[in-house]
Amino acid sequence: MDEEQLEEEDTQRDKYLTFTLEGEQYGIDIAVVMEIIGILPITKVPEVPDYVRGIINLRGKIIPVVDMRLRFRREFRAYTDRTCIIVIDIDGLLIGLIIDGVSEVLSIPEDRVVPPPALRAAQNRYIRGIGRLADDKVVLLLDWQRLFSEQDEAQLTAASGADAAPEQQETATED
Amino acid sequence: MADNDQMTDVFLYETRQFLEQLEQMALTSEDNGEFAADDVNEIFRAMHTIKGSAAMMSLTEISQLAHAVEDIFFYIRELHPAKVDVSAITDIVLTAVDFMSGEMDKLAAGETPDRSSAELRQSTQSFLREMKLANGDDPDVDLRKAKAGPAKKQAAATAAATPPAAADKPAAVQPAAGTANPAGKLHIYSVNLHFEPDCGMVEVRAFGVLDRMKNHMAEVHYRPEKLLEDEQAPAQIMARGFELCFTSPDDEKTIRQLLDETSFVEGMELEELPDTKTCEFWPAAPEKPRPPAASVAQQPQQPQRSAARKGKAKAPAEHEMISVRVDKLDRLMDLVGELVIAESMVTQNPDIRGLELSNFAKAARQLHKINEELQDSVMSLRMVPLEGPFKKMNRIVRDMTKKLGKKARLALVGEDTEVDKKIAEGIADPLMHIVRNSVDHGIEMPEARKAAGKPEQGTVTLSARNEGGEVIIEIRDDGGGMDRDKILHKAQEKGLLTKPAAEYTDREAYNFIFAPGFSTKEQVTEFSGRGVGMDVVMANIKGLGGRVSVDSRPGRGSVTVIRIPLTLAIIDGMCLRVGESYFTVPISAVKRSFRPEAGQIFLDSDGQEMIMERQQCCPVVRLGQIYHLEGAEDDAEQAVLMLVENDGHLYGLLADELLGVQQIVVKPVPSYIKKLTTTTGITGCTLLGDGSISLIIDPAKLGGLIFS
Repeated sequence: MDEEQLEEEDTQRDKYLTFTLEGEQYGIDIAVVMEIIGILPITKVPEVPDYVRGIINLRGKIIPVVDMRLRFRREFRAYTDRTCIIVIDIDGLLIGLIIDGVSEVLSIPEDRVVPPPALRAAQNRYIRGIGRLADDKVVLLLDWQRLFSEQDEAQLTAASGADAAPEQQETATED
Repeated sequence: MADNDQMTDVFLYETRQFLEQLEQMALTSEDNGEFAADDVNEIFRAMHTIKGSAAMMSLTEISQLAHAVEDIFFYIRELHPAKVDVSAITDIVLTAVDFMSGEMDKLAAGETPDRSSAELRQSTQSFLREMKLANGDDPDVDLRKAKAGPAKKQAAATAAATPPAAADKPAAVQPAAGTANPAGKLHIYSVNLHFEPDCGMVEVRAFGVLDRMKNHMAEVHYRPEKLLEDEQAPAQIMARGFELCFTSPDDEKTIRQLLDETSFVEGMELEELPDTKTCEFWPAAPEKPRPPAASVAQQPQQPQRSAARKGKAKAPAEHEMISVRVDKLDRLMDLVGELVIAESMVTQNPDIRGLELSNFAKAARQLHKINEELQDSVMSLRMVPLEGPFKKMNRIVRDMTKKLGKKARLALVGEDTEVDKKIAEGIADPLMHIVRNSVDHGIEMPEARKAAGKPEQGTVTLSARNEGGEVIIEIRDDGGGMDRDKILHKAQEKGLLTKPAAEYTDREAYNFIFAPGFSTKEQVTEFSGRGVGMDVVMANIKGLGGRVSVDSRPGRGSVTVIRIPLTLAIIDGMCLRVGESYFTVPISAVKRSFRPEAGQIFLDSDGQEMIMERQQCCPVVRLGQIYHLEGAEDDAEQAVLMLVENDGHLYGLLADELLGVQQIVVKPVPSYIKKLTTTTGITGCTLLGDGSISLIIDPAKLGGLIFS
């Protein structure tokens, strides 16, 4: 079993599911992606930040959904049938990311990833690195761990953790 | 590897069941002041099984300890000594049970159970020795050897009191019920089992075979005759195989299947014999009728025992109980939820809307019925009675009364109340603390009780009942009650008072005991007084989403009330629609619902909407407003008002529409959302029949938002 897992980890290494958000391309570790679904009816939950759109019922599981446009302070765009929800699994915590649409799965070896510039702008801390592609395009690699495990936005401390590797997934089986 | 794990799991499960059973039996016996013949047999059997299976798991320390304890009961069973110190023996059994439980925990945690039981064994053995001396028996006679091999130790055998006739035939296992009916059609089988050379403990394995087959065998004889007693037995089994000849009503296929389940068997010969005479070791005809002593002793006990065991969770029978991982159950529950949704997607499919389909409708109804039943049974799977955690308290009360020199008994009421397994597990610790407190602080010394005109023996009553969406567990004692002034004084010392002491109601004062580090008992005893107990209780119960409160009457006793919502369980909820959102309120909190008439709702000076109900002024909350929902009905006369009661406070909730009462499964709000909201009064969510999500409102929490 261990071997199988290792193998699976190996095939998933350095692979990123990419999606575009107003021109920029973002990537998320394929290892945490559970599935990609179309938009589902969303139940609103009171008193949450506006980027948390509510909860959805995914085959009996109740999953919170976050609008990535709003999360990154872009303009809200009404959902269409092209809108997707990427369901990710962070140590058993399921979260749906609402995005305009997924692009493709890219392989970006670790040596093509550079750390993000240490800017003061708050947003960068959710980027763990920038992957350079062959055609000079870049992919912003999301630090999903920080994105969803932080208490709230005010928390700007703790600079380390950028090298949190994707091997978190073996614990991600229970819910 | 996986096979081994499974074996460990089964071993743990079975042994724990036995240990629980042992503890209960020992405590009952102590209460009765004697060991009934049934109990002696049962304890003996339980210890014996633990011994065997522990040996099979190579846990020699446990196995040997079980052996030592078993010896005592063997002695009692066989010689019926006059002087039996029930209390001391109970102590021995309980210490042994504790030791084994500890080792089981280690094993469960993946550690090696390596504690030595030598000391316990020693004390057990010397106790038995003294007991034998006290009863005028020769302590140096090993009863088993004396019986098993009379030739070897003749002198000893004669010295010992003549054992009952039954002991002469240890090799003939009499079947549980009187199935040995020669008139019935019995097959005669001859079996020879060869175990793998390096599997070890062959005699125990052989014994296991007998044990497993005992319900399928009418009469059985085997070779070597003395499996566990004879030191030569393993060698013989290895050399010649385990030979066994028995009569059975079952056909060969069944027998073969049963035997095939034996692990570590290298080869097996099974053959049906025409006559018992063909078997070399089958006793000759005159011996066949059972010794009268044995049957007389055995038979009348049978119905008694089964009556006594009825209702008790019968421990190790593999056909009756199976343990399942909880996540599998959760998965099943999710699947059933999906099924329900899929069903409504089919039956309410837009493609068939408006069509007259009488056959389809009939089939759909049938499907719906089955689905509902399925849902009910799946939900009930997770529910367990509170009996287990309740019964554990027997031990606490016993140990404490013994140590403190008090007299108290435990009474159980409603222990069959079912709760979610998680709650049953989580409640054990808080219960223990409270029961300890009741005995330690509550129940007075016998003399003091007598002086107060109460019976010497105090009573701690544990009761459980379902009330609406909650389980209510009460721990009541008839002790001295709590001292209001003392508590308030202490609270003042600790700086816990927020208003003058005189302004506190009795209830408020008593509930200070849940404050961290609070304990009024000057002296720290082994059991309580360190002041860590009650705030741990509070924290644990809060962890289960519950509440705890305490009340007391001086001189009459105290009662601690724990209320726990049936999370993950089924509750009846009233479903509401507000705009496009759905909410569910536990039906237990709903007083009534109605459409308000014009002018019925009025504003107070702060602009808060109010309504008069039963001469009481109740605030009205528009759900659409406090939850900032779009599309909610503004006109109160077009809306529905639901009156909700919580802790004596009444308030109204204004919603757009009432959707009716539904049985719902409470699911927790995703932790990511929970982290972001704390003040909404929403404690869970549930799936409605059509797959949409409804948020569950906790009347207490919402009430807390409304009332200051």
